[in-house]
Amino acid sequence: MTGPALGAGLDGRSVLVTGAAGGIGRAVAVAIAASGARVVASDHPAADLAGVLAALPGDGHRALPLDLADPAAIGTAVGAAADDGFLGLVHAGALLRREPVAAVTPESWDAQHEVNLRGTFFLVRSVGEALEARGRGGRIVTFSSIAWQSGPILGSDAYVASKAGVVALTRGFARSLGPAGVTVNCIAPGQIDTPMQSRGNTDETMAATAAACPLGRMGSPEEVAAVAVFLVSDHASFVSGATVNVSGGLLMY
Amino acid sequence: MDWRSDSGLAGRSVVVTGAAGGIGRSVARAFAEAGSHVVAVDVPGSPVASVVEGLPGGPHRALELDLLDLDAHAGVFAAANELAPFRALAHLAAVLRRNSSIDDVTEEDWDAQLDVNLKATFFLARAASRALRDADTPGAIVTFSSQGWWTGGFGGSVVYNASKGGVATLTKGLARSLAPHGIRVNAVAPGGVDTAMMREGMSEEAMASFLSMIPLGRLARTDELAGAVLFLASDASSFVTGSIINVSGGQLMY
Repeated sequence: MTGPALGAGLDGRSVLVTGAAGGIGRAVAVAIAASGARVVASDHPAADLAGVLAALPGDGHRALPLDLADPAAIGTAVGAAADDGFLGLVHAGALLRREPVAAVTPESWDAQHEVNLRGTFFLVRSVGEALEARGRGGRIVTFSSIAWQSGPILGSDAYVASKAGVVALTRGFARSLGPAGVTVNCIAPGQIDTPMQSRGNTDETMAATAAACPLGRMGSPEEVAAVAVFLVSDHASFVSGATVNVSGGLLMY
Repeated sequence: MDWRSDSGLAGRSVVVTGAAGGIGRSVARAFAEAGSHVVAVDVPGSPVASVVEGLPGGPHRALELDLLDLDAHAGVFAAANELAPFRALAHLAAVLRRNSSIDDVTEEDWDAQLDVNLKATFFLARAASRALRDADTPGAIVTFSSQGWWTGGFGGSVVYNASKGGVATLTKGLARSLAPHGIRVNAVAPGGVDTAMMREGMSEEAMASFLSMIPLGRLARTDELAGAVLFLASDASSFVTGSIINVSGGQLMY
């Protein structure tokens, strides 16, 4: 047995967290740091990563600005992140532009898919290669959305199409990296209380969605972070290729 | 939030059914190490007493019980509440009868599996929820399905897996019914686990072929299932309900 820490196995390791300046990513960074790991906190170059680092318990954390729309930069960044204790990746970074279907332009489509789908492929591939080279196994956690299953609502069509692709990528990488002892799993959050969730949504819509979920409320970023910690811990050592539904029962699968 | 797997479990009581089996023993131990008081349940004549003897902490309790005795279910949770306030049920007990051909399945085979695996699951989970509702306390119920809920099963386990499909459906329905009471209901769906039951009657060639379908290339140790149970029973999964957690090493992906 692995002891009472939810993050059993994280102590002394390092984890790359993307979207670390966002609602869920920030909570993930805090949770992983609290579990004894060094966090390499990554987000868009314009984000306030210094503020993120200042809130992390423990030491040895680093900031890693990265534009996920730039595949060449991704490989370089992973090279910089992957130190000797590298355990893997929690990839919460994503771009959502909420707009009606009629308003989606090719530019808007490309901007979201370049970050969310293309960026995920090259990032996970780079991390997978780094983990394979170290030969100690590892952990990769991606983020989809509850809407990968339900279909897009509230003007998120291009975003959700990219997030459904993330589920497929997760399964492919779980298969290809499994022999190296690397698990690859996906978290599909429902309605979580973050700035991204409320962007472009009315208060009425937010309240109605929270009420529709069996638990009758939004989830907190910390509740999603706890699932991420589970998936990168020793507790989840035989979980791979799974998409974990964290929606308070809004969907059930 | 504290980042502990025993969050909400320490100092509380839990009920583990199928506790004398390979996975059940690991689950009972994991709960005990998390500071829970364990009521270990298994069928009359099983070595369930030996399960609790080796556990750290306590007091714990062993119960020999036929889960088809539905009237006895309430007493299980009363026994748990005598140890400490009841928090979670981990329901692993199940009957598997392999019939190589569907033509060999008798009505008695059907009833023996469906009665324990599905009917008793409903009544036991309801009794657990009543204990939590009577105490007006949140809690968690963890059921066990099987990868066969998804595939329909291979190797003569059609009936067993129909019952486990029922468990997946039941998990969702109970999750919806019990959410207003703060009771979460989730299922674990294990793939190949290294137990005596798993290895029995399997040739080296058959095992090699089975392992080749698993990206991680091995069977699960029983304690690797316990990690998922602990996660679902603890506060770490406080926004997870109605979910089926796939613990198959990537053999299936969902």
